[in-house]
Amino acid sequence: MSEIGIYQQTILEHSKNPLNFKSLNPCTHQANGNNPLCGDKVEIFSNIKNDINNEICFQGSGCAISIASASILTKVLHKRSVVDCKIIIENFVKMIENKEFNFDLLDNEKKKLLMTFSELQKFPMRTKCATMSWSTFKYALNHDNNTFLNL
Amino acid sequence: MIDVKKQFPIFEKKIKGKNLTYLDSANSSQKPKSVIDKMNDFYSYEFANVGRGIYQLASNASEKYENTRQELKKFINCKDDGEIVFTKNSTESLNLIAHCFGEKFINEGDEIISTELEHHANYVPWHFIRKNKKAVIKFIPVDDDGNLLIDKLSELITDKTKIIAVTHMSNVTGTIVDIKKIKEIADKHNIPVCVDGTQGAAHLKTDMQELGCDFYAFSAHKMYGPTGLGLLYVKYKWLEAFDPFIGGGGMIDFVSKDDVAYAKGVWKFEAGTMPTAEVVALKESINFINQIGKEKIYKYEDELKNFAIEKLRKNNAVEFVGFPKEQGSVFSFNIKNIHSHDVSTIFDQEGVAVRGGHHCCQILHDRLNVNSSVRVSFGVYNNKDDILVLDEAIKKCQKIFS
Repeated sequence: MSEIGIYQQTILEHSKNPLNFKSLNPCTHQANGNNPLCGDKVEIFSNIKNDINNEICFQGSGCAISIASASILTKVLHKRSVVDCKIIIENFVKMIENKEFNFDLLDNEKKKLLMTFSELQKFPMRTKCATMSWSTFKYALNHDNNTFLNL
Repeated sequence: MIDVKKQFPIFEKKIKGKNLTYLDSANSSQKPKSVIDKMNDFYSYEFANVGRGIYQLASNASEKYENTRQELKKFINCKDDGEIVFTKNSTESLNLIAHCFGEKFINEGDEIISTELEHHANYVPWHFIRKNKKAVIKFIPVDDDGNLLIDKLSELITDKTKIIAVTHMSNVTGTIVDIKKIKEIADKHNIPVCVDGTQGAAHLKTDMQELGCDFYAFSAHKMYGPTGLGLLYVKYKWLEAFDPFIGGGGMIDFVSKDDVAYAKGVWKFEAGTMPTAEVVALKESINFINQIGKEKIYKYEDELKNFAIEKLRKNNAVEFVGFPKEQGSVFSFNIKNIHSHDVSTIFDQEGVAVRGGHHCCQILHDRLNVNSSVRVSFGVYNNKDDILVLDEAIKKCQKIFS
């Protein structure tokens, strides 16, 4: 583990070899996120059938934190219901923003995975790097296809 | 060798237990004690609003405010101190020009010539005019090294071209633009030239007679002065031609229920209470620069930059963003496979302050095929030790991401 808490091995590995890094066409939900501060971009695709997030993937360019965060998002929210996705997203963002949160809907392995980002609380300038993909996916869930979110 | 670090109180501060290695002067420079003290003194013992009261305090404050304008006149060698307008920042200075010039002299189908180097502050205000007036913006291109291809300017000029808006020095690649050459071409077609001097003013020669431009926008906070204060040189003929930018107190001659007559000269553009203490303290910043001397500053910073580039070039993972022939004390780079924001965070642990991102220059980053970069920029307080710390910090990034 590096001496800088946010660059833990899990985050570095996900940033170098992100999971589900591809586009999905056709899909039921898709949104683009953009961080105007740094120019980072993310595009999230998902197929939701019978209220279940059956398939989820992403594309984009950004820092290690934003890529790792999107990668872990696809792992954690896969096969979850839309309602569950929204609750987990809300609590992940709360954790990053140093507010009260819980990951009660998740098993220990996934909880641990999300907790690797808890060190971000000490880096308020990097909050958006961690939350961009999560806010973008939430936006996709709440809107019709082909949406664009400026964070 | 310039040894002025001791005059800057910020360097007494430790960042995470380490010395501050400040390499972000292109963003904003640190302030010498003389400037900070002047702000304190003015607020403590000399403060009154300017241009309004007739009591002694107000009269003295007004005099000090105007003294700075006179100092600026010498600093940029303009013909009259009535050619210098105080604004909120360089961005507002450029907005003033785009608005006042664009509203009056740009019509549907007219053309504005910009460059691929521009900071958003010298592009977005012109975009407003493009949108409102159905005008066109053309761009002088840069090559892969970030050199501005001024030879292409003549091809871009048509009888529809109304203004050329160009930076003096890029805040990303450090490219120094030959304003005189642009002016020579512009003069053949009688086209005014608006220069964004935000980066240039603290580092390059700012002689308005030599540059010959019509407008020069710059900023106090990048030349060791206070924030909240922008500066704008406007060639006298334009002052009279322009309508006001912002309306309110201080910019009027008289007001009645039927009409308003505007003040003459620069006062027409200084509505409302101005950043008074900032203007007064700016005189100390100018003194600070003058005491060292612009030429000496340029030479010193150039040596530092060359030392840094030589050092970083030895590292194969360092990829420079542009490599212009004429370069000021700014350069940008990426470390292979590491994003600029991750670099900035790791640098911060070492007390190294740089900027990561697109530095408000998305057009230039697109042109040079990078999403973002790490920018290193120097001020007179930097020295070679800062570059050694930078070099170590780069190696630390590589180690973490190896």
